[in-house]
Amino acid sequence: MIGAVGLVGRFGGAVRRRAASSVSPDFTLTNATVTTQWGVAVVGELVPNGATPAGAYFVLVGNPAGFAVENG
Amino acid sequence: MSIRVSAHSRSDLRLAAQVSKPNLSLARSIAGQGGQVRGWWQACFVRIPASGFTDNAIYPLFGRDNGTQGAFSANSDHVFRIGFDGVGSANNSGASRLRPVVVARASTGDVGAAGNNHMAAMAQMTRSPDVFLVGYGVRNTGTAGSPVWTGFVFHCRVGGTPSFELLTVAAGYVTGTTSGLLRQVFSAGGALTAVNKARVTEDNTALEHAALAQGDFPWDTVNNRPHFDAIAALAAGSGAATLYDYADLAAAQLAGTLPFSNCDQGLSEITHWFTLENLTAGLTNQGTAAGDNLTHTAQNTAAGQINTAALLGLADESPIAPAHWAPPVPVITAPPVKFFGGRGTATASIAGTYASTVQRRWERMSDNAALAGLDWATVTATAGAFTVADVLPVGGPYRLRVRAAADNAIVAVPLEDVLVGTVAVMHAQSGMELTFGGSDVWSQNHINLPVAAGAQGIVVNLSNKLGGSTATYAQPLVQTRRLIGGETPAIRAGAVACLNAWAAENPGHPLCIVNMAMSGTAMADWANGPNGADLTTNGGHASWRYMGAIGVMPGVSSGNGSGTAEVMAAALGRRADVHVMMWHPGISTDPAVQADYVAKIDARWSANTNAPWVLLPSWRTDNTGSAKGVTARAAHVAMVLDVLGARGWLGPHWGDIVMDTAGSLHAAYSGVVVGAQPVLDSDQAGVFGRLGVGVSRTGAGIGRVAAWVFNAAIPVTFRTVSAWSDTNRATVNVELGKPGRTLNGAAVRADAFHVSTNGGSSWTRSGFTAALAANGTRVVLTPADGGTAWAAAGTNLRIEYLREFIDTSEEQADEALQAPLFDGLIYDAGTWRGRLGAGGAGTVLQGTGTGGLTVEARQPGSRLLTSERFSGSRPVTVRMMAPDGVTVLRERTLMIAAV
Repeated sequence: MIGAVGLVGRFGGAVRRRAASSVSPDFTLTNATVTTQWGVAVVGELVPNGATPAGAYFVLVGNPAGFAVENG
Repeated sequence: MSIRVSAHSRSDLRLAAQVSKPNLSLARSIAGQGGQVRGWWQACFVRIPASGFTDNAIYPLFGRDNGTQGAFSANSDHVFRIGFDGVGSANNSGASRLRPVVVARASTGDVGAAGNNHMAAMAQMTRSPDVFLVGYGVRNTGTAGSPVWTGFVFHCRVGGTPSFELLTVAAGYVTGTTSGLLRQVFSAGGALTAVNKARVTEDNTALEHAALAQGDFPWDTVNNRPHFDAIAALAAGSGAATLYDYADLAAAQLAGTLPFSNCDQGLSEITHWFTLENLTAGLTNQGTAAGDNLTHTAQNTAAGQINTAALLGLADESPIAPAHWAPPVPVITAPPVKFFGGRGTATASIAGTYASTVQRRWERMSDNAALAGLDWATVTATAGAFTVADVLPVGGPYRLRVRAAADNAIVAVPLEDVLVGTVAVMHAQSGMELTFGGSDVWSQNHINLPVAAGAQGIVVNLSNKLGGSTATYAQPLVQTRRLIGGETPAIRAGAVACLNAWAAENPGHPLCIVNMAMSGTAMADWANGPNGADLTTNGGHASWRYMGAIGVMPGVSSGNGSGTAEVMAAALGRRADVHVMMWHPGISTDPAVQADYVAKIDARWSANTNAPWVLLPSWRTDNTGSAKGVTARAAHVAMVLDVLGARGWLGPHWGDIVMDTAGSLHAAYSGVVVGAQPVLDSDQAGVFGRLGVGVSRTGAGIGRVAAWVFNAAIPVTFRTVSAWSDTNRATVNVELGKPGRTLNGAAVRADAFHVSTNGGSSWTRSGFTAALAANGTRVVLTPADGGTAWAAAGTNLRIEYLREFIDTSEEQADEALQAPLFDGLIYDAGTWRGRLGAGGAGTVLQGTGTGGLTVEARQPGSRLLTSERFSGSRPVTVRMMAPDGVTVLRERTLMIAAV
């Protein structure tokens, strides 16, 4: 099952070798720079690819200082 | 120290060559004064042993022997002896008495009768433990042009009365130059197999401060004798109004300032002065003939003689001279607070006093080892003062040792328990002040909260913080309370919790908490009172102020216009590393006053005018939308943004820390006990399983916030980031910065959300429900009217989440009963229940302005946000989750650059 916890990388690679047309769920960030402030500032949009199922959402791993995710 | 004979006939202390007697008739230069026709004198402190002196003996103490054999009877010797005669021999000192016996002889003459001069007219001396100053010499009691030569002997028991006897000086003695005045201290005799009472110093005889002076001893012109007041001044004799050592006496003679009546002051130059404080430094000549030192010299080492091991027979002994002879020691001036800020990069300066060069060493008190690069090294003293100035590493407690460079045995009382780390200055009024104690008291550690293992800190406060009352002045004084890992100090638990939270992020890094906050004061009181001066403290004395004149300290009878900020800054070397402020309600809304306050603080804490300031915005949750509360919050934010600039840090909402509701912003600190447990402020110890709501919680928050300033990687806690509606306000979705949860299956509390329909002027927290989304990323608010009012509000609709809503929790909260109410709050996954928002660094709530999230249209997609100001680049790992909340679809670590 694509996307199982802990298996994302391994299965993704295998899929690419087996069938180039099979795409794993993935995302990109539209921007990687930001002018920070005491309050919320937008870094960029998190854009899922076409293989991402509807209802997917984003969370941060750990408890990184100074970051948050907004799910639209 | 002194030196005593531990075994006679072994060794003595000897000059390389004798000091010869000068031709007294010739004018000499003495003490820099030419044309002096004067004599000489010698003196020493002696303690005669309690036993051992036997009949018909005359034991030598110091002088010049002939050929190192202890034979003083030749024509050219001078020697001072103590004689004992138990039978009244005519040749000794009289019946059963101890008296001086002197030989003062030149090759062509003598002082007194030929042979030993037995001072039969002098008072007898007494044995140990008594100590005597003994002396003898020859003086010109006439003039330079018409000299009259008089020999004299004196002694004075320490604390007793002087005694003397005069000696006739033979004419030939005056001009003779071949005899020796001094060659050795102690006498070990020669070619002996047993003590020769005429040639050796007896066992357990102790000597100290042996000196030879060229010149004339002060003279009593009425009584024609060595002046008793001068003798008493040296010996701390009975009734002595002035105390001198040899140098003091000689200096006073030179200056003509001896305060004695009927006194021919004379003139003396102390050419040889051996302190005899020990067998090392005590042998160095302290007189003007520098370098002419004593050497510990073995005697009687030939085969078959008594001394079979060299350099035995003399031993260091406790001092015998009066206290005023003790060598001056370096004195370290203890700073008011033994803490140095600067986080290990600033120079710690400690002053002290000493007449000459000293050496210093810094060491750890834990193992007494020297700090790296800070072992003994020379520090130059100028005009009697020295300053130790070193950059010390973060840590402690340390010990500073100082000793005389010329004599390592002369040591200062060490300065101990010195810490080096971060100085955090607390500003504002009672809400802040009470966390660390009251205005004049440390209060109690109601929950017996111990200092975390390994943590080190100190809290600084002022006694009489108001300078007394309006009518009566009471001197404000710096007070400190040490916080030491494992101990439970008697101080309000907030201080302990603050240090513990700090130490959790900064192990081994001491924290100094300066409680500069003062109850009931407004910022304007400190900053710009009448005529540009800061005000007198409320209810305090008129001579004492908040800021205080720079460089002025309060006195015993007047505050002298000094003030709290000035005294505390001076006590810490004017170095602050971080300022922490929560100033509700007294913060000024005037940027000019805010800037003035900052400038005046910087002027006093002037060693680091770039220290960051963390402001903890407050918000009164009285449901009425208090303009005062909102205004105060806005003023905090504006001060960060507009006044402090790059130095400003917008910290978490005070409510995240204090969990207070009714508006005092005082954290609970009562010691009310229900059953066997205190009901307040109890959870920091993690014992009772309830929420901490008191000063321990406040303190922990402040400690963590302070840590956050220096380590931005300390993670944020829960916060909200945006609000949106796609139902025309029938529902409003509040996006959380990270997934949240409630406790024990409780529904999220709607009354933790505050809603304004007028742009933040007033707020309500009723009329709607709240539900946490299944994945925890948002809360959905549903107004009871279907959204009519919220839709009508348009852009004035704002949403705020405040977690300080538990009624009755203020100060006297019954925490045990209130605890379940906290279950419905929103916690992030990493937040332990008892530490909800406890200083969650970076929980800045909804940004700036009057607060609250404006309600926008729904964003079409997801966004990565930053929630605090930072610089440089930081990594962040984003995980894309499947709708099931379990499956990870993709995870990426992204590097985000702040520009």
